[in-house]
Amino acid sequence: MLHALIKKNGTVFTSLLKIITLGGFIAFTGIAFAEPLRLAVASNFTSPIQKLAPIFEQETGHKIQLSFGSSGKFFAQIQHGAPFDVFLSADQAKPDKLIEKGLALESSQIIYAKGALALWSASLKSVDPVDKTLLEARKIAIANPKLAPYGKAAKETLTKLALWSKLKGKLVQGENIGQTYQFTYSKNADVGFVALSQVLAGDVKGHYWKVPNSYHSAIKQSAVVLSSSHQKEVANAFLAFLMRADIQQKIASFGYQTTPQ
Amino acid sequence: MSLSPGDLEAIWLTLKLAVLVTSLLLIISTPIAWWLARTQSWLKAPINAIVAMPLVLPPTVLGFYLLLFLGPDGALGSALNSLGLSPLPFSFSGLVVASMIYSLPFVVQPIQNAFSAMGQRPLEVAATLRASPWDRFIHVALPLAKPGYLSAAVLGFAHTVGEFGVILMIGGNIEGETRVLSVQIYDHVEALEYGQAHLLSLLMVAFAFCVLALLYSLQKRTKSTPHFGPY
Repeated sequence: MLHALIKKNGTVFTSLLKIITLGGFIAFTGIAFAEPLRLAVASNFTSPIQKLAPIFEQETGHKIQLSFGSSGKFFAQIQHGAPFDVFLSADQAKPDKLIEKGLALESSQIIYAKGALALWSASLKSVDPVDKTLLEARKIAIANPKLAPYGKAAKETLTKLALWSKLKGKLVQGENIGQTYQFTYSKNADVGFVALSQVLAGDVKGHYWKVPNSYHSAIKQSAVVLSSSHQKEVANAFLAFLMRADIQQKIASFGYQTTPQ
Repeated sequence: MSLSPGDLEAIWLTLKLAVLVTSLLLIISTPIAWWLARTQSWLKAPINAIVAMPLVLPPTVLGFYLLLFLGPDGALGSALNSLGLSPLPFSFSGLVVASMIYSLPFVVQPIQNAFSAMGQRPLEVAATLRASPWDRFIHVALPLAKPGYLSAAVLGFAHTVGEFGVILMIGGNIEGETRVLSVQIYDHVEALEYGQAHLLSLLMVAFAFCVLALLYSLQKRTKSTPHFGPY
């Protein structure tokens, strides 16, 4: 039956076949020549990278493909062959570990941003004075100190304020800083320790207190080129782009610290 | 490698949650399933759809809306607040409410199918023997629907144990309160503690197999009611 159909519509089929072959050829060569640079980006850097990537694309003509997620998940995926070229982690430990395992290039490693922590509230009229706000809050959101660098910094801040043991009972933990923001945004937590970059990018301004850098160890966000990348040159060019003075200035305006501490 | 105190606590919490949710669901699902199985009302289709919705909605949608709905600005959240009750998110009671919504179709549907499958006849016969409506329900309908109840219980329990997304969204990951087994495994994976993650994950795999094997052997023995809900 198929045979008869082909015979009957022979010409239609041949031209269809031609179109399909041609289309396939175009698609194939297209991919071969303009394979996008694939970035695995820690969720706290979502909004900045969405603004920075188009600038790089425009300057160089290289396409960028963004994936967002937690650094821990990307670490596990990269270990098992996930096809990324560059990993922008929320910390320094995971890129270090990838280098140790030979999965990332040591020479490529940069600190592209230093995180700034903020105590933020969407519901309260003010977060000042800080100790009083924290002591009176019913729920305080922080990122999981075991998993997220911003969570670790929040814990260090509370320890520095000598409030950690007092407040422990009302802490709720987000799996990452994105979820911590959500808990505070929805007002389920009265206050939350979130990334300053989130507060500045968000549509609800609320009130915030920028935690002084001296209250916690630096949140160094490190990026590396992965050993499995087929386009290490473009990847390195992208990391160099991130370190350029004008781009670093932009990163600072998104709520990060860029000056060396 | 052995289970840490945190792991044991997570297992205990998960079992407690699943038992409580399953029991409550079996109670509230009975009238819903009974009504859905017998009604001719035009409301049947929309109510059926509402009950089945957690089957198709991603847990993130449920979790996100529950977070807003139960929050201080949300409809239920502000109502509870004005009654002086403690807010539901980040609490064990919050998980119970969320899990009941999430597992509802897994309990309603097998019971509903069992009620539908028995038809009107046994009840009519009982009525001719002057059994009161309550009598007919307790002594005729319920025993006939027993296989449906069994699979409803097994499915509701297993589905609650396997819950992750909703709990992650509204739980706040508090040890002994909202950190259930699936969240504990997620934490281990994120913290690169793959050994601990393996151990707990293997337990879950074994559990899932045993539960489903039990379900299918129940199904085999009670051929009279071939419908088993969403599966």
